[in-house]
Amino acid sequence: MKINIDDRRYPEQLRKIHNPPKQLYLKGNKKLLDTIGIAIIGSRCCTQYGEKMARKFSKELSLYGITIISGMAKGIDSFAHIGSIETTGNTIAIIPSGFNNIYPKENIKLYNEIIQNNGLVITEYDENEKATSNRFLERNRIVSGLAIATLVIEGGTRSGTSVTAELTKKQEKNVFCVPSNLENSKGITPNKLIKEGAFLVTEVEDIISKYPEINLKKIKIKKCKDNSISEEYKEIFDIINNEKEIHINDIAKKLKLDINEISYKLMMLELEDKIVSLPGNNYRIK
Amino acid sequence: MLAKRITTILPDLTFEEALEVTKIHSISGMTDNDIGIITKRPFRSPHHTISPTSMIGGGVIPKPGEISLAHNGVLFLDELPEFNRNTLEVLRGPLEDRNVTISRLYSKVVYPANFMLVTSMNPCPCGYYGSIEKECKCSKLAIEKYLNRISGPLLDRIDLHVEVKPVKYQKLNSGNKVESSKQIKERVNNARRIQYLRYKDLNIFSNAELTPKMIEKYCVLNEECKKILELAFNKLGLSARAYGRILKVARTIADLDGSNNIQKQHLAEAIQYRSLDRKYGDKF
Amino acid sequence: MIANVKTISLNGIDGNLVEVQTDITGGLPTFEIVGLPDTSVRESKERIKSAIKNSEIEFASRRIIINLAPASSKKEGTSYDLPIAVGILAALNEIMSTNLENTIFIGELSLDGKINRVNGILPMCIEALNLGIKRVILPKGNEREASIVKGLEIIGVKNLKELVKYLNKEIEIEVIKADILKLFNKNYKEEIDFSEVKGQENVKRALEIAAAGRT
Repeated sequence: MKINIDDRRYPEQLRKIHNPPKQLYLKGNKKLLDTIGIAIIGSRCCTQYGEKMARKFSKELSLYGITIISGMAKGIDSFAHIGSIETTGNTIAIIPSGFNNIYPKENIKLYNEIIQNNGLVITEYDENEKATSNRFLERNRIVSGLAIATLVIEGGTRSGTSVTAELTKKQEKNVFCVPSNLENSKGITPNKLIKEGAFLVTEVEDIISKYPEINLKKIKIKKCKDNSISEEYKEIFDIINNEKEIHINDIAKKLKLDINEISYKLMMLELEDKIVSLPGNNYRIK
Repeated sequence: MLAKRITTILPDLTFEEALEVTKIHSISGMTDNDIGIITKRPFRSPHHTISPTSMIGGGVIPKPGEISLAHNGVLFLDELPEFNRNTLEVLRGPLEDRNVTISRLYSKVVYPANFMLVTSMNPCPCGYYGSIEKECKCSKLAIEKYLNRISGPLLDRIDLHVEVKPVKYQKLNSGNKVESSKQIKERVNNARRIQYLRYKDLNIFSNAELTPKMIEKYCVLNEECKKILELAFNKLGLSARAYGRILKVARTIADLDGSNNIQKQHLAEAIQYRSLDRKYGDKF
Repeated sequence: MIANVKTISLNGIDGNLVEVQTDITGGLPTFEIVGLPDTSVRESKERIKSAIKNSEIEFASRRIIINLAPASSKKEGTSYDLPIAVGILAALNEIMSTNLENTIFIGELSLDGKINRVNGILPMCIEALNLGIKRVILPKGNEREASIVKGLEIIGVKNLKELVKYLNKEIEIEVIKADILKLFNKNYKEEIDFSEVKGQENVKRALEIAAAGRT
């Protein structure tokens, strides 16, 4: 679907920016244009820490009913979208190319998932247009333009991330930053932004409290329905439920069971979507 | 080190196997005149600077390489991504054929090379990816580059992946009872006996040697298992190439359990050992 | 005078019979080896000459031609030293050539006549057995390894002088015999054990499966 700038469905937030796109092509759930969104941006080659933070804040913001807006690039962008999808939250992806040339190709799967999960994908380009380097920067103005604020997670020097943060400031919106380790080369942008006056974020409430006028309420998490877990796997599930993360051998030790039995039950729980396996044979509940 | 201990749970060499091992060591001038016959399964762990020729054999006067010296035993490659890519590529043929052919000007030489490949690697350049204790500082790109040093086809030939957790000091002192090699070996021998009897008319000895046709016949899944496998493929992003490996491993787990059929617990455990496919997704 | 001596060459892990034919005639003194010898085999000329001289055997300059048959396959390594030397000595009538029947010679020579151990003795002896050979004469340093092949008379010799005396039946050399089954069943002691590794249950389990599924 295509909407022009004079269409009444054209988002008001976006019309206000310096050079709004003439038209928008949409795919997915158009209602999301009327929701309140926060942009999560960051490096394409992020570290494990960046990945964790992107997922964490995306999830927690989603739980406040906020729409997560990002650029569907590799790295932080992808994890922001994924975090939102995993909590059945709302997410909008703005891509730098037409719908027939999804970029990067690896994210076609993510693109389909966003649409399937009631998300929205937006571009200002005709369906056959290809992604070019200046379009990445053009895309960024829509990302920050649609959002009420921008959360920066990781970014190197002279990155697209810092450009988007600048745009956000120009649009007179708040920039929030997740701080990074000083030795982390991807932490330069957020740390620099904090030094220049961006808000430092350690928990999601740091963002929420800045917007008292929008009455945001935390949606109660739908706790995993414990009764849906069969007796067979209950024991293991309870142990994982009690910990933040736990290693397979530690589960075996606690339950005094053979490793083969644990191993198989963990796989079954994972397939039933009750738990998530993390790198290094660690597990946590979903 | 765990890898080194594998030879202690492998079945004892038969006389024929021992003779083959001794032959190869004899050609390499590695026999001890006092012992005569080698009765212990070989364990070879060449350094990662090894050349392709020393790996598969050859040279001006042809000599068996590490893979033949590991015949009927274990070839352990520590820090797999550190090895020269060519050195690793030459392993692919012998892993399938269980022998290596070295062509020369006047003749060709065939050395047996039926070995178990065991290798180790770090999850990322810094070694802490996925660790609970310490944060990994590598970027996704750096991790990708590191993994790219190993070719997909080689990793494809590896049946079991398992992530090893660094051992902490207090754990070393914990009083948990630990099984000895002898106890484990007994179970291994039982599982081998089952396989030997099952395949006695087929001219193969173990599940690892099953061809796709044989997998169809000997690794039959019931409806419940089929569903689990389908779910696993959709959910965990396993590559299609993992299919046969999972079934063979599931067959072995069932044999260890003394079960005639592959049941869901065997299959589910087998899927656990595809952690590389899962962790790094489409890369492999 | 022509002499024929048998030895075994290696191709991969299999042995092949090679006949060392020696022809010594009068004429200009030369020493030629034919039958596709590689450099290491050609070098043996010098070792053989010195070894024979240093074993108190007169080695007059004659025309010596050695052929390694079958002449079409490449010959490599140093294990031809001994059969060539024996061939020359037989052709010179220094040893009784009737005593070379049904015997395989393998070994490398030192300049002083000592016989050094060579690689690949076991597959060579197995091939000898397959060919119906009765006796293998080889370096002392290889005799144990060879003795695990049952049904062969294994004679380990230290040097060329001893070998000449043995072949001329002036001395006896004890035949090495090994109780192969005893050797095989002798339980080696494992220095390492899984019980020394605490924890890591998931890794141990994976190794157990690997051991159970792969020959």
